[in-house]
Amino acid sequence: MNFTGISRPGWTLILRMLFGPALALMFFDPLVAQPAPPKAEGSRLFAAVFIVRGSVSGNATGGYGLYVGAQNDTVWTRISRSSTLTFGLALFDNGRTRRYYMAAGNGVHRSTDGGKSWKILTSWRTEEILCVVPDPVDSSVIYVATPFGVFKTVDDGATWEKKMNGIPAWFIQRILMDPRDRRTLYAAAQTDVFRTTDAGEHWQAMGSGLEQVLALMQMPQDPGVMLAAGELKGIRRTTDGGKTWSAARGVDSAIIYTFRSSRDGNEVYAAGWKTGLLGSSDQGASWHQVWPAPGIDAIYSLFVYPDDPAHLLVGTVGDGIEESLDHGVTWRSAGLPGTQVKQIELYP
Amino acid sequence: MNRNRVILPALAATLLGLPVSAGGASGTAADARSNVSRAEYLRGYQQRAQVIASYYDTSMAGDYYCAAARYASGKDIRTADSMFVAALKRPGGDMFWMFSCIGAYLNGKDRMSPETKAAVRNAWKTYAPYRGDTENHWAMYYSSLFLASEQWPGLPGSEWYNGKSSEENRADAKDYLIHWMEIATTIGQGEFDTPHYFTEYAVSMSLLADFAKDPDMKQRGKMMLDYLLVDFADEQLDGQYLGGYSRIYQPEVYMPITCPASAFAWLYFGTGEPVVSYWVLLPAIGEYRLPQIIHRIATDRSRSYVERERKRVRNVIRFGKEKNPPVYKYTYVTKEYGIGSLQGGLLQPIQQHTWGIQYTYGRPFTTIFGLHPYWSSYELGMFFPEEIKPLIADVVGSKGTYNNPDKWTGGSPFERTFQYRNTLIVLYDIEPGTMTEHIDGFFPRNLQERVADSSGWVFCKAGDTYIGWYPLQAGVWTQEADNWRFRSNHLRNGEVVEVRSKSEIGSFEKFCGALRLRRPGAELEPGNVAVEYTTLGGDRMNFRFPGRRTLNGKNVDLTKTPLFDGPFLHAAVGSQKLSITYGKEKLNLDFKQLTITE
Repeated sequence: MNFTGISRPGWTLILRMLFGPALALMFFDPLVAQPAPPKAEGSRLFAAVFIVRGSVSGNATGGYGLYVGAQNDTVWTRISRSSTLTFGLALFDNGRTRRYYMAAGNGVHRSTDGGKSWKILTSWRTEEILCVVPDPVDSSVIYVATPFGVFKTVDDGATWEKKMNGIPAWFIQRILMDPRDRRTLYAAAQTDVFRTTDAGEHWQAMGSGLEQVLALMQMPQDPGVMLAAGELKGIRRTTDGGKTWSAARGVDSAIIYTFRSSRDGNEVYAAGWKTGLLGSSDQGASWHQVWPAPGIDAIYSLFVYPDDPAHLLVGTVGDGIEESLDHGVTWRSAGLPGTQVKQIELYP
Repeated sequence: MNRNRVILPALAATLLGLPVSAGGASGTAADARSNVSRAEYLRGYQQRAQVIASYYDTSMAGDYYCAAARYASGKDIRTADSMFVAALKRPGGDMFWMFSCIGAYLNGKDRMSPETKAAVRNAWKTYAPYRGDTENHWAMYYSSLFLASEQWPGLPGSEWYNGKSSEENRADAKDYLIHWMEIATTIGQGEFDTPHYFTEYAVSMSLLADFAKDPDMKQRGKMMLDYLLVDFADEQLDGQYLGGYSRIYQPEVYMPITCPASAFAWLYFGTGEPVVSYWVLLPAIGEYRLPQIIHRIATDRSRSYVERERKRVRNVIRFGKEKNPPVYKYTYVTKEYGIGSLQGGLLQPIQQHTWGIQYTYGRPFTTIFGLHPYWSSYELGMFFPEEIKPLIADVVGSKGTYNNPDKWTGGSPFERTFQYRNTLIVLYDIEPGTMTEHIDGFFPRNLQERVADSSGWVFCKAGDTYIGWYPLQAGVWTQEADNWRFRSNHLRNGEVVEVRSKSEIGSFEKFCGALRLRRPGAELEPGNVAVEYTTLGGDRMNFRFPGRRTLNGKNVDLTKTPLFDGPFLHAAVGSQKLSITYGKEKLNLDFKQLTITE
């Protein structure tokens, strides 16, 4: 639900201010995490560029960081500082405040002025941020995945606390927030997929059968269906919110780095190490190769235009962004040559 | 030639007024003796520092070092300003930029023009350096950031590249540096004993010691520089770092004297070759002076000794049960050679040097060593956060030898060592299907003797150092540009290495004759790789892969290895205290109390 450009959390805050939290709850449940999908019109593409091929720490060619580009264009402009090795990005937008976040080697970067200026929110104790997930309602709450665990701030980055109660091994690749409940999150960890239902205080293994978990996704129209993937064991799937898991067909030993679906969930994509682009039309139960991605060793990121599910973008391991306008039948370069692109999003 | 490293021949050094000893190795300074007086040492040190400073304060290379040297000497400040401002127009190099920039600024802030000062300040607002991904990067990054934040206090985040205020930056940098010092002095340094990256730590601590306004941080900088230098001093011979290292590159690994750390050996100890390098410029124009006791330890090789040390693996992020597992280092040091080893296994990614013999003969090829050339995405995944499979290509982009089966650097999960004094046993149990199924040995071509004896031993002579190498399996010799390569294509494999000097055993013939009487007994079956050997000294060593070691029937427990244990250095794990002794002289570094007592 979205009224005149103000998102559901935005309306929640307005109602809180007008009528107090109790009445606001009657209109909207503040635990709901899912922000309204952005309108494609007027939005821009954001790309997290991790590194430029051939660059080395301390001898960098620079040029990596957060890039912005117009839709259907190959021109990209860096809006972060150079030398910002960027693993991911995120948006907080409650209708009044818009904040961009970068998950980067130097920490969590935040911009409150549309990318004109950035502040690093983390200290040296919370670096190499692989994934950043801001709470969609409370801007002072942010979760991050790092090689040394899940960290959370409740004071807008002033302090960070490690939240690993129940997760035995410390490398966390990704965090996913359940669109139905912002206190429920999933962590892609070394030994399994883990779930918390109390905003990170306790985690339970979900028994996915995976190790070295790299990618997670919930179906947009049916969040009880979840996909997970990692090193060597293909894709695992649950349709009952994690009670039982089964192997997806057609991807027995694929190494999958990323998932993406169309807005309606009818088309789901996955990609990883030497997989090309994989597609599924049954919510991830079975997979086929959509595009072999010749000459591209790995695909790190995927994007499906919300208003045009035929329009796909893939972020590669060193060849920038490739684009297809016809469901992946034909492809062309969409810019950022020579880069490793870790995430692509469409943000206002 | 690298413009940043100039080797001064003995004649040139003499013409520059640099005292050179007649009896030592080429270039060794006259004060490279343990019994020199403090005044003699300081005179020699000052002359060496002056050689370095005068090279840079006349150089027109136009970098931060040329500017820093001119500011320090007071020569030609206008040129220094113009060099500095020009360099600031194209900042790059991340943390390497940070320390050179702040180093030049701190040496010149009282002499440079207001415009130059403004340009420096602006650079710290507009250029955003990356903090890096290794501990040497972080030492440079945070020490530089700490010093910069002290220079410009009270500024809001909008005046800094990272959006943090001066106070936030100072607090963050100080917190990291104290953390690093604590962990290094409790469970050991992570990037330990690296002939290549020693410099990054030493320069960072030198800047703190010279310029920190915070008296605690100034004291910490001085103490850590003492700590780093004495760690180097007692495993140093003729300017070379001895034994196993956490990180080294090719070709440095087979030319140890060419490593950047050797420039520090020459400046502070007077040993090795005269080297002018930008790495030692900032220390050379600084105020820090090496305690005399460390100089004595670096230069006294009148008696052979064993040095045992505990270090730690750098942060393990995947596949590990422990974030920083221990590293056990064992080094035997004499006046002619050193032989040293780490326990083996994967202790550092990419550039580990597990064991080697270094000696004083035949610069620059002064080493014999062996390895199993190993690489894998598993190894890289242990230490780097990126997705594992693409990592090899990323690493090869900057460290081109990583996936070369002929490479001369790197650790292997299938290699283990057992050393007692100057005898070393190395065993390999290589998993079938591993990228390389061979082991290699490096033997310089400039050896005086290299004889594959019918007894099975390979006898080598390097000046007054004799090396015996007993391969447990057959191999093939190949002549290469600078060396002979001994390659053995057997999965269960190993070697026994004995080293003696002329002063220890007499003639080379006697050494060979004694070894001919000794044959290691080996079991080389799958899952059962072991050696039994009685050393030239009569000690019985039994070693079963991967970690069962007995000496004269008694179990050798590496886990009991102290942080430092040798004739000069003593530190218990967890103590944060290092006791340095030389005869009746003592120096105690107490990092809990931040005190130096003599």
